[in-house]
Amino acid sequence: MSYWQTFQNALTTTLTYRGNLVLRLLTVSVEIAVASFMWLAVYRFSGQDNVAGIGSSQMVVYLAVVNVLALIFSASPIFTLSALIRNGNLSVMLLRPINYFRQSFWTYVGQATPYLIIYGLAIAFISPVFRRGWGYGLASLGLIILTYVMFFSLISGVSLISFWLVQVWPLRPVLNALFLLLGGQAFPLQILPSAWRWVALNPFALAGNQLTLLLLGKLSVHQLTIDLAMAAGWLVLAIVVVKVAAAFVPMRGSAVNG
Amino acid sequence: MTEPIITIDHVSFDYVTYTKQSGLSGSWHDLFHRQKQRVPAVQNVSLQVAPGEILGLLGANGAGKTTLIKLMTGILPVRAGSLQLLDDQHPFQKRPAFLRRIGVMLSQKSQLAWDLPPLDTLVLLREIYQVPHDRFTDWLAFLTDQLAVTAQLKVPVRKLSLGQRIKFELICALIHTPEILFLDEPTIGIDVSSQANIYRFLQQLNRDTQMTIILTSHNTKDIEALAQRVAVINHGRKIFEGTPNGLIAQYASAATLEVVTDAPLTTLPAHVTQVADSQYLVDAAALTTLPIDPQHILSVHRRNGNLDDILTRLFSQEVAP
Amino acid sequence: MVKIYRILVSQSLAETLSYRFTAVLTAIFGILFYVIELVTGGVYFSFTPTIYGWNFLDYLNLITTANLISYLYQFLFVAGHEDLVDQILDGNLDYSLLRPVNAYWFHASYRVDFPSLVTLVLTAGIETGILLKLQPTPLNLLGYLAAVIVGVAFVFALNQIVVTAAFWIDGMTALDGLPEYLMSASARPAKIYPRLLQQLFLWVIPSLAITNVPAQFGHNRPSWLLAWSALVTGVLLGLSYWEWRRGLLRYVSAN
Repeated sequence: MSYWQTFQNALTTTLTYRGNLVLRLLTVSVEIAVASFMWLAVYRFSGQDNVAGIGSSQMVVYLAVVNVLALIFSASPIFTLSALIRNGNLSVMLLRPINYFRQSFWTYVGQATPYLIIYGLAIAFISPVFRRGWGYGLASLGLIILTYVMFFSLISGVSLISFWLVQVWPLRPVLNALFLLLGGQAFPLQILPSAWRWVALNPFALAGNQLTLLLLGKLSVHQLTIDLAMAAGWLVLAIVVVKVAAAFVPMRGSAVNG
Repeated sequence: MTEPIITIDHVSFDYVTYTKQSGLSGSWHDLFHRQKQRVPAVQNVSLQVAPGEILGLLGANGAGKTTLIKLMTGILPVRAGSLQLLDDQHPFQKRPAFLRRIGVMLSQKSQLAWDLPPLDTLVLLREIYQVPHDRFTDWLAFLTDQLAVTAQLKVPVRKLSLGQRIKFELICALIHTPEILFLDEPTIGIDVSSQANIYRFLQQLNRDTQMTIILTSHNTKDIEALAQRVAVINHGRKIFEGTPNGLIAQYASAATLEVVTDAPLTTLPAHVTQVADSQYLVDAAALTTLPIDPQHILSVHRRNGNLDDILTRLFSQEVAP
Repeated sequence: MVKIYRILVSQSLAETLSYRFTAVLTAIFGILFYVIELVTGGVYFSFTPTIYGWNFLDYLNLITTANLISYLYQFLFVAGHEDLVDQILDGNLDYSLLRPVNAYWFHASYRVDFPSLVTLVLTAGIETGILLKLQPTPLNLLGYLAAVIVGVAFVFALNQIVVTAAFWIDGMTALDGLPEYLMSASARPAKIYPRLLQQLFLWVIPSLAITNVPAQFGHNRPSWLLAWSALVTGVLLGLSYWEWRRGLLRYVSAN
């Protein structure tokens, strides 16, 4: 099947440039180490071992996981799409008997596979998720998949819109910055004052902060339900955005929706 | 012959390439012990150029003519033999005084800043080559006028046509009035009228300023229009040196003429065979005069006397090592 | 040389103006990341008033100075370095070899990056405010400025070394970001790191010294590490020049 092929191609490409893969993992490790050492110093000098419900060793795990998630939830589809639009190859893509967005989704999965495996292994072996019963385990799996599809759709929608507003490339730093601040990559969002808790419901937080808390076993059934509902809500919004924006792509917009 | 401005004496050069081994262990091995391979690009070439001469270097792609230019301009170091340009025996040392006396245009590379007008690049070159301002202004006005690109001086390079861009590349190479001008494939990819314009300009430049010009090309029109003398390079070796006509005389098949007339001949003279309606082959070895009325002749050519044909034949020959 | 540099600067400005929109966005993102660092620092210090003797203002001084060094490098050299990588990989250095000027410095100063100027001026303004509060003695202020200059030279040398590596390795785009990662990891008080890392990055590759020393001068704690980091920077500059010469030889023999 061609989507399987797409996935394989993307994965192979990532593995072919393993020098870059290794360097990226290295730089992320450095980022994790820097943030960890800084937080350990904060714990030491604040004299407490609990910051917003997270102990110092859990904080290190939190930072490691959220940084891996930042790699999984990358903004790469924006570049693929903008390159296609700019060199006029989008119309060629749309003529193929294959849905562009589904194909792009499988490319996205393929590129993130090494990091997805890391996260998957952590969920399976370190995390208490599957020790809390099958219902919770399945709901968690549902949240992970739903969030993943939601984030991809949102990025696609944003890239479609942004193409008409600005040149697309400067979007990457913005999305990185949003993930850093709103996704909980710089610091866990639950340390914010309670009046700011709603920030944890933004799509970046669902992808970063909440999936990390899930892995740490710090998501109650109630929070899990809310996150599932929010992810579904954002997904619907993203799909609407994609459909509307795609209609404005001046060539065979209907094929985009396919 | 006057004192030569360029003397190339038994010069050789080889490129170093590295063979890659496959697989992870191969890459690891390559990291420490790479297999060097030497590819000869120029072999034992000797050549002299007189001041004010236009020399054409002919050769197929990869024959070594660009390498020869890079050796002369000091981009590449001479590995064997010796080379003297002007009074400099070591171009590779790139003494500023030497570099100011040569101008180079490499067709595959651009020296124009893509997003800026050509004028900006030229102003930068003015400072790099320390050209006095008033001289720069006059000379630039002359050059752009001659090449018909004055109006494009302030247009961003990305908006220029290929022909206009090539002309500005040429102006960049000339802006500091070099004594020797090197042109590597100067007319590649541009239209016929721009080509004609460039030929006329270079001839005039050579005539008025006695600038020595070395040009490489595989476009025989460049050579026919400009070169007073040609050197043919094949597989890194010089296989011919002399005038363009000398080249034709040496390699054209002897004694057969191709004649085209304005109408078919009513009677076919002896030693003449008809190939098409009004095209004939004449066996010149058997005749002392052309047995066809000159009033009806459109053209006469030596068979295989076309430079293109000769070069195609020459370049397809393997040269014994 | 000054005249050539003036022309290069004005050409950079002209290019920036032809991509105004991109330039404005780049400037905004620079500010955005600085703000995120500020917020994150605020979060750290909401739990404790001091970390290893650094209070929030000292910490602000540290990250602002680190940003100042980084934006100074970006403004002066980053565009030249980006251009140089392209030129090396495309085999487009031939013309540079034909110019009667020093190609190392020509490429280093080929472009200034005007979008970074906006963030640079902003950071310099904030840092001035911080220094006014910290009130270093005139001598320490001088030390601060010297340390910033050494810092820019250090970041330049690191990048130059990485960029010139393109003569030998290609396809390793992630490598180019390495100095940036090193410097951003170094924009923290040295003491938060384990002793071994401290020694390594204060003395061997003194990236921690480059960020910490000027900050220390700023709050009147001068350090002899400045002399050491200046020395190492000098060595790195020499090394980058040697690498450049070797790279050119390789370029001409293999191209």
